[in-house]
Amino acid sequence: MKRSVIWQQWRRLALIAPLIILAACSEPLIEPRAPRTPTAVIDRYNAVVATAEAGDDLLARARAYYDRGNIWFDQQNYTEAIADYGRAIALDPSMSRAFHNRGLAHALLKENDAALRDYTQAIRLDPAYRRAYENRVRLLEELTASTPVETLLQQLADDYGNLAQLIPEAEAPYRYRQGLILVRLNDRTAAREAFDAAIRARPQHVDALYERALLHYAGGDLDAALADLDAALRLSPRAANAYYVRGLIRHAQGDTRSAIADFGQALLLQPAYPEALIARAAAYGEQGNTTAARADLQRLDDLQLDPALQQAREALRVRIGAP
Amino acid sequence: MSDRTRAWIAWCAGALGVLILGSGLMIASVTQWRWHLLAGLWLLSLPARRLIGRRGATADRSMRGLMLMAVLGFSAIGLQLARNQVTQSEATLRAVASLAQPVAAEQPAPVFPEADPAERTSLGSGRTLPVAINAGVRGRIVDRNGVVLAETVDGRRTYLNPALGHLIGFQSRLYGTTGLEARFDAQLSGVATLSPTAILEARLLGSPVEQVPADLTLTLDSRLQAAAQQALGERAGAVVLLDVPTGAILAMVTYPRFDPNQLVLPEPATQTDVDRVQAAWAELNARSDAPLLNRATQGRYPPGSVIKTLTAAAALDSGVLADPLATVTCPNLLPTEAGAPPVRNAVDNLFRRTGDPSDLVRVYAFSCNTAFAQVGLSLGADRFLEYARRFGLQTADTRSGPADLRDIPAEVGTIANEASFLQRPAALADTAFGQGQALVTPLDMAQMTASVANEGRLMRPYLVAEARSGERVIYQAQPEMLRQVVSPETSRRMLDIMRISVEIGYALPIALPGVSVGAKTGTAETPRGVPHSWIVAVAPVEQPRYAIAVIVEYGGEGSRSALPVAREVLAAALGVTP
Repeated sequence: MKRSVIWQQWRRLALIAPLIILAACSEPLIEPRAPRTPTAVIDRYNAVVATAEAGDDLLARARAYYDRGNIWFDQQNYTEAIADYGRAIALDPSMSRAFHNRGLAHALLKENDAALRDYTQAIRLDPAYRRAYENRVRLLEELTASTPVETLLQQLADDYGNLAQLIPEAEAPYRYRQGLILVRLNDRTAAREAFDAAIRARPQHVDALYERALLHYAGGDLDAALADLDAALRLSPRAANAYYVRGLIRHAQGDTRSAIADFGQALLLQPAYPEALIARAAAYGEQGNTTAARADLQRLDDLQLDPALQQAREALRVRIGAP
Repeated sequence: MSDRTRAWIAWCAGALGVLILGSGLMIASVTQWRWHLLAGLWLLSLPARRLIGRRGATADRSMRGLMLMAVLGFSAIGLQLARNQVTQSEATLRAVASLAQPVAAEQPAPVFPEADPAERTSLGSGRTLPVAINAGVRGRIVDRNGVVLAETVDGRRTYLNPALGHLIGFQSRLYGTTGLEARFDAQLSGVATLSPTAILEARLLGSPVEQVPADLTLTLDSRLQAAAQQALGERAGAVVLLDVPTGAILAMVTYPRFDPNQLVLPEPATQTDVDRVQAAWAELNARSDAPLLNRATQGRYPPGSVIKTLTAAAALDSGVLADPLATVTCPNLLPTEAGAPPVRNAVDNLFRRTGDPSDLVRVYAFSCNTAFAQVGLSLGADRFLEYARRFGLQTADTRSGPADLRDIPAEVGTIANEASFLQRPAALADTAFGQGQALVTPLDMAQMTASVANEGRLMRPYLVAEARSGERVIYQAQPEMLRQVVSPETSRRMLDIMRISVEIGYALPIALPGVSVGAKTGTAETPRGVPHSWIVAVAPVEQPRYAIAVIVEYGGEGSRSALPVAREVLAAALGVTP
């Protein structure tokens, strides 16, 4: 074979070599993902555990199991992680972080009762253990969303309160959430205190103002409710539901004309607002303006109504004598 | 090109290659990065090849080329790893933080994303609370005399008169709520006693609502209803008995019918209960005789000769016939238009009974088709249609608005499919004596009769007299005149004509001892050959209280099937022994 031919072969090879190299290294380029600790790392921690086992220092042994548990955890081997955290806890029952991490592993395995027990123990050992509160809150939010068990709701409310104390810069949102849970628990006094605290921490907290107004309204303190809604509306002048609730309160006060104005404002901001339509039609009906009432009633025909709103519509129909 | 220029270009290309590779490290797109890598390495190879040089033995040059490829390959791998460190740095940091977290003490404050308050369109959690309205609490339904027809026992709706399913309807958890149960659901459930605002407040605040169910009192008379049911028996058809002055429905029977109890689930219900109800529902829907259809208000039938009442009333009221004794002929055949078959009477030589020439009274009594065809033609299409509309019959193409009866589902009767149909003389003549395209409900015919008997006033028919919650009346039906269809004078004349029809005509068998009855029989042709049997009647003629319409499907002549039913019902209403 001539030299020139060999040279040409080399040149071709030189051209395609980068492509071969790129193809060879293409696999890691597919999807960026969080790098996990290499599986082989566990061998090093096995060695550390073995060394600790050989010694007499129980705390060092507990620490070794705890560290290896963290590696198992990082590698998503939660069963092994729970076993190692358990060994660490057996050796050092004051190890709050082992309780917390075991709780987290249980939660990831959907072993919710065990997770709650471990979080609770971690918090008992370290009452300022913020991450334990946060993870317990996360789990409780998940659990109470589907099944509103009273004890869990109370625990959730308490945790929000504790987090509000532990993290002063996040006090307003945590107090607000605490208030919402206390409303669900029908503990209106405590709920109002929580909303008070949220508003103290951040006077512009419009949600807390609105929810506190609802509490005042339910408690019959209509003036206080109006004051809160006025404050909320000054900050959020486009909040249709605040106008709607203010209309209801004014209606309860006997100020039908202002109520109609508020319902109208709510409908201006949100034309498909069935509650405001029903409320305004009822107010028109009370004024004897059945034409306007029937016009609002007719607008309801195009809207989806839940069972309670359907009943309100029927009651309205009867009241204004509509067919 | 000089060697110096080539060298300059090569070094520039190398610098460009470095730039391209450097920028590629920051690019998230894998595909773009690969192009950067390829282009950058090739550009970098240009100055490298110049450094290697082209001099020397072939083997040396080959070896240098191989070395260059190896360097470029390792550079590619190195750059790839470096890029991983850049693009995945955040994930790496998170993973490292996760490893260190259990030991680390300091954490940043949590971030709660919140919109600018000025931009908020809704505040608060947006929760709504269930309004506690108990579906198991429901008022009773009673007849005009307080006889209980439906009640709720232990949370289960029970229909004590199962023959009233077509009126009362049912409240089924599987198939919804129908009939009066649906129309007056707000009153029966107690929602009607609530203010809408109270429901809205309860939904918003969770405040309790006070639910006070109301009892419904119907206009029905169970005794007359039973008489009508018995008279009709198990023949397909319907009976409607109206209170003439008010329009209240005193009896309304349909057959076939259904028992609403079979569609109600007990509380709590087992799977067996659900299967039983589902099977009953499937069976009711599969039956060819349509037991769920309320024939009295939803069955649309050709009216036959009972429509002659409308034609006669229109002719008298409009002045087309000056009085009931105005001359009318009853020929055997009446040609109407070229190409159309002539109008015939049901029997030949009917003029021997009506007389020749005759009058409106006698042609009505003996139901002369050719006479009423002539009257219809004299009225003209527009006037005939106008009177039909006054009596509540529309044309299918212009039909609009609900039926007069609002309490339960009802159909609107039609005199023709299109108004233009009546412009044809043959069509107008046929329609005037009861053929053509007219389709009416028994309720339509009862209303027609009642309005003729009620000084020409057409009343809205109704079934519910009142809804009462304890002492509080929350619904009260008021008799409502829909319109004046004919003058009181025409009404009086028509009553006379109907009375004489019973005294000398085909309606003679309906006569009751001691009471004057006015009536008109009808025989409506059907595609099956056997006609529907009709009758409309009113009694007592001197001071009309009851108006009745009866149809017996495929019952033959009106005097044969429908007439005895009407007679028994009127006898029961008037308290006479037939």
